[in-house]
Amino acid sequence: MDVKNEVSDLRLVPGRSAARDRLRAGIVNGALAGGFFGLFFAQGSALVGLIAGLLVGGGFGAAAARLLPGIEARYTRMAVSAGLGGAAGVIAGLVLSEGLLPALRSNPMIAWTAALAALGLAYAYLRQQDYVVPVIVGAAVGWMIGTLGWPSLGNGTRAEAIMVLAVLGALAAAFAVRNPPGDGYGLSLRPALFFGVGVAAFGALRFMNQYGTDENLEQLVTAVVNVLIAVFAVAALWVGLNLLFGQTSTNFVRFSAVAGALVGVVMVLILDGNRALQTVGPRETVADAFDDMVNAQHWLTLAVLVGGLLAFVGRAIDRYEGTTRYMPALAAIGVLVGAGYGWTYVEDFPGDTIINLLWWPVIAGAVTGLAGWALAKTDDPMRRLGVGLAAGAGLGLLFGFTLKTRYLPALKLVPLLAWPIGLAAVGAAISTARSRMTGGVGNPVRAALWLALVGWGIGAWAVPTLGGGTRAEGLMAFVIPGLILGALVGLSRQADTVRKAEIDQRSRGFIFLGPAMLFIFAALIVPTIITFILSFRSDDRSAEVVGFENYQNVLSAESNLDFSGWRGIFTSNLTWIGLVLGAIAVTVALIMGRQQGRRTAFTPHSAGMGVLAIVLFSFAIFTNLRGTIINNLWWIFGVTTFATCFGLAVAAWADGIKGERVAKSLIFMPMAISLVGASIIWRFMYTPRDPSKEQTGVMNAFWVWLGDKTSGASDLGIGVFDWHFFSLPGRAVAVVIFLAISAGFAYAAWRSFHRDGLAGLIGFGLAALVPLYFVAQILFDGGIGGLQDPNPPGPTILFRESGPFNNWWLMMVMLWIETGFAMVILSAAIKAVPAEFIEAAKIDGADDTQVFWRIIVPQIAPTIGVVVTTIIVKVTKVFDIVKVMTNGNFDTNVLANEMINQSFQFANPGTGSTLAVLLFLSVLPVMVVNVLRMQREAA
Amino acid sequence: MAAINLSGGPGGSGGPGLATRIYDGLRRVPLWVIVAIWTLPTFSLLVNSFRGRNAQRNSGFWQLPTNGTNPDTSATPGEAASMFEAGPVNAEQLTLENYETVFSASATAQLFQSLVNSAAITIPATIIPIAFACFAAYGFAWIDFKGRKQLFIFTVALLAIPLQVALLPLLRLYIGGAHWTLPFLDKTITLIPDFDLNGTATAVWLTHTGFAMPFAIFLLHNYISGLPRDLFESARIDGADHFVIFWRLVLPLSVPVLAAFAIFQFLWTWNDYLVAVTMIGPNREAFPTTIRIANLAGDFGRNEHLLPAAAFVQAFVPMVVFFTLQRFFVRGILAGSVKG
Repeated sequence: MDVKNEVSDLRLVPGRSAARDRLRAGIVNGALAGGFFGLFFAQGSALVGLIAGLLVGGGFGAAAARLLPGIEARYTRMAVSAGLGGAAGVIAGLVLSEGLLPALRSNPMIAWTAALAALGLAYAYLRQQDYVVPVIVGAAVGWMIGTLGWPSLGNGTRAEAIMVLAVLGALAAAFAVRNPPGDGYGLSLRPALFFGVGVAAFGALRFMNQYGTDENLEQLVTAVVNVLIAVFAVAALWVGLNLLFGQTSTNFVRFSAVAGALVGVVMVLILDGNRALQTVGPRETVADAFDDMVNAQHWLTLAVLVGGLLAFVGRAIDRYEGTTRYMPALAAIGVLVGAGYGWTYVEDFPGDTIINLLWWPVIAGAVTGLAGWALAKTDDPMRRLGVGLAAGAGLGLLFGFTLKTRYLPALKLVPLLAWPIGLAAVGAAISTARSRMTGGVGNPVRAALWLALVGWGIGAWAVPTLGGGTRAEGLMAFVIPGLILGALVGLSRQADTVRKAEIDQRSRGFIFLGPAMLFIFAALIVPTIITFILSFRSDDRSAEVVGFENYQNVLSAESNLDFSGWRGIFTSNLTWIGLVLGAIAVTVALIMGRQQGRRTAFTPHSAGMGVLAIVLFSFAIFTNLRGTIINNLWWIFGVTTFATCFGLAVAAWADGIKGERVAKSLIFMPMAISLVGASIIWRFMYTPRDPSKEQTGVMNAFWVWLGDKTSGASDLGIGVFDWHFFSLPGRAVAVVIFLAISAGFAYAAWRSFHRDGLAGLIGFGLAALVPLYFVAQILFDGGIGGLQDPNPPGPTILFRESGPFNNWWLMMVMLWIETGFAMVILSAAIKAVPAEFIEAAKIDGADDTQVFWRIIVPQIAPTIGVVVTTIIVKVTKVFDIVKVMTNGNFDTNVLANEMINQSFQFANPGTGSTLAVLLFLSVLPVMVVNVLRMQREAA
Repeated sequence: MAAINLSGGPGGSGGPGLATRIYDGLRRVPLWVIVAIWTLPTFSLLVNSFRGRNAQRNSGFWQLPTNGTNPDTSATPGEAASMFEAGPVNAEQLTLENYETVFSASATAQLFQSLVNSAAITIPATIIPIAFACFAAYGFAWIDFKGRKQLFIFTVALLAIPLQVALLPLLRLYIGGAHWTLPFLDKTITLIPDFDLNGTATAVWLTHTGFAMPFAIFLLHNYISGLPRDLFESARIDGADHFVIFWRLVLPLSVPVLAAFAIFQFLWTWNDYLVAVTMIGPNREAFPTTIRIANLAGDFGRNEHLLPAAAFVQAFVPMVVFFTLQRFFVRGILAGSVKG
């Protein structure tokens, strides 16, 4: 975990001289705000607005940074700052675009500002803290909403705009300097963040005014309300359970009553969930009545309901905090919110739903709650038994009367009696035998009753057909088990102190783990098991068990595994270059090993050649054997290798360079973009056009440009705007550049021959040949890049369509993203290498290259392992990129895409599940390694 | 190859003289070239989003609308302006039109609605897993019960399950609820009734909540179990029960790790395409932004010029998070990198 903390330091402002940093932060903040405003909201040209905004904003920022830290008195400081902000606001108002001039309406303006300022005050009161800042924040947000969000924009006057922005600027600026000058004073870019939040809020309101239809707004409100209801309900349930079980040792009677009531409610909810209970009769009448009430006095009702609910919550908080202020405050807020909500949106209030869930649960809860209360009150065994039996009978009667007619069981005498009596006898026998054998005290009556209950369940509900019975039979089928259950409860002894503490203790485990376990069970475990089962069943509706047939089909399908092109491996240039390189690498390692008296000696050069050879050879295999599974392997191999190598190279190269942080965060940025977004970005990079027209995709434009220049068709006229710097024949320039590169490699070969021996000479020597090859191409083949006939311009590349290398261009997207990821992790690991190791090596005469290969790489090897395994898992499951780029066409399909297509597009659950299981099995080994490592790290 | 700069001059040769400074300066060049290449795709998208339909179709992004010339006529073969020969920039022709169009309700993009949908998925999918995982992490760390260790190991092992494996059964659950036919008796019990969740945002965030759980529990447990034991013991002596300890001690102390997880989960769900596309299916009303832009990319041709603006809006939210909360962002990404 240290690695992770190390990396977190990608800040924009490193600490140096405080005054200088303060000035810089001030200018950045101001310029950012001004520039953003100028770009989007000012009159006239966006570019002019941007530049002017940057300058003016930067000026204000600089002034604030110089002026404010010198003022000690808080309110003076805030006032001066407010003055500056107000002045900036006036300027902003003067240049605000015509279309945005707000037509103010006094009501929302005053109402929102006052309301939110009051909310700030209430917050300060509740937190018992300084009220100035919350009030300013509330007023500023309220002012913004009331003036810019509410009224129609574009119909106002300039005076209104100036007023709005000046007040806003003053409030924001006063807020920004609320704290006294200290160590970190004025250094943070937090104002920029606040500004961003403000812009976002303002932008959201503008969007709603301008683009949102009423439907959208309604949808937004519904979504927010649903989320709030869900969150509050869950929180209330969880907190409530905790409070409930917290009372076992303090107030057992109340605990027993409430817990009892809950049991009754849950029983009804289960039956109701199975649609077993009637919905006729009193229920609908009461629902109607409640509906009428809600509709007639909606805001009042809601105010009372919400206010009451929040008052209850407030009281709970007060109890735990030892305070008295939450209950009245929350009650007031609840009344306001309820009334306000009811005023506007009451038609959506789900009165029906609530009542349908309410009526039967209330009765059952009352019965069981009363029983719980009575049981907690008395220790007398006979009375307890009586209470239990009465409650059981009551519940049985309730369920018996409300059960839907089509579920009434047609009882049969023999199974009805045989099952419970038989099982009860078995239970009693087992219990007696157990107490004999262990010598403990058994309770044969309890065991018999439990098994009789199970027996009755089978005899009365499972065996007979449901729906043929009479109401009397239904009553009997419910009342008897109710009595048994009641007897079981009534026969139990009153809980003593130890037992109460035990209930308290045990319940917490369930309460804390319950919600998470429920989700894990329902969303992970059970679905995974079902998928495994489905993978052994056929695709059609019958879903017969077909054994391994699906697996056979998937693995033998030509679209998934196609070996027919295997001969191509031997004719591919990649193979031969790879083999030659590999042979050279091994030979060199053997020769150098003999010199050093070892079997082999790989230096970075020969190892690099070896890796390159493996990459070339594997690409030869992947381009000739085709199919979905091969594509997946290619992805895993290609992306993982290159992303790790690039990431390591950038991390090492950037280490300690000025501007490292900015550079790293720019390379890391693609991680923030969705895979879908990244794919779209790269689609535009790859766009091909007819060669006779101007290219719009960057890659093809570069390709065509390269061909154009190196074929000698035109001069290398490099210029900005209309001003050409120089004009030379492109071929000559290209030849000179490549010769220079070649000479550079030759020099490196000569140097490393002296230092590292043969491997360096050969490695860099081979590298020097590559530019020479390009020179030869330029001189004798007419050039490189998109050229050939017609000449110029040359043919463009269909990056997405022409295989098999289109797979590689798809991988580029992933590579673009994962390089940053590898870089950040490896960079952290490099920084964690102890400095003493490196210094010691340097004293021994090692240079940077040697330090990197001999010290750093071995030290960070475990982290490289982490990066590799992590990327493998991500790449194995790649889906979005292929979906958006080609949808698996042009031979670019991968397992995950095929799995989604089979499962959801073609409705082949069997095949889809088989592919999912294969996916699971292929990530499993890597994930096992990962999980084991994580647990080791955590321990 | 790589150079490691430590304690004074690189290569250990002499003090920071002129040569060293030149060397340092040169060392920066390749790095910034890579940065430029890595930034170019995003930058080109941003520029294109401000260019009109004709400009986008007929010239590359490096040719901002050039002064007075119509891109349609200037593109003659042979004289095709290259990336390095852009004409004078006329910024007046940069336009917000694409953004206006993608946001307007009438357009096929309907980005406003899908932003609302994305928020409706993302917010509960972030808050609820945090709450549940935090409870569970505390339970695993500080509540004694039988089989605690085994259950925890089992939970963490579930990280190995790729979410693809659970998609199809989950979709069936949302479509029809869960029913269990008792073996040999031929009677069906409804375990989870049909809540009509098919194609709704609720189905998506419920799924995300389930999938987030093992990782969230693992991450938070790491942190919460590392809190000092004395803290809990003294609180218990003062008579606090688990709920009070959790509420008053653990939650406030865990804010950093909660923030890191929140940001990770937020980005994960905001950028998610797989879960959304399976659970929402063809219900256009509920499309989040990722589906919307993917579909826009699918019907190539007519609306291609809107794609840069739409994609940029989609990426805007995570970018803001990235640049403002970078510290937490990096922590979250790193911690989340092991997620299955």
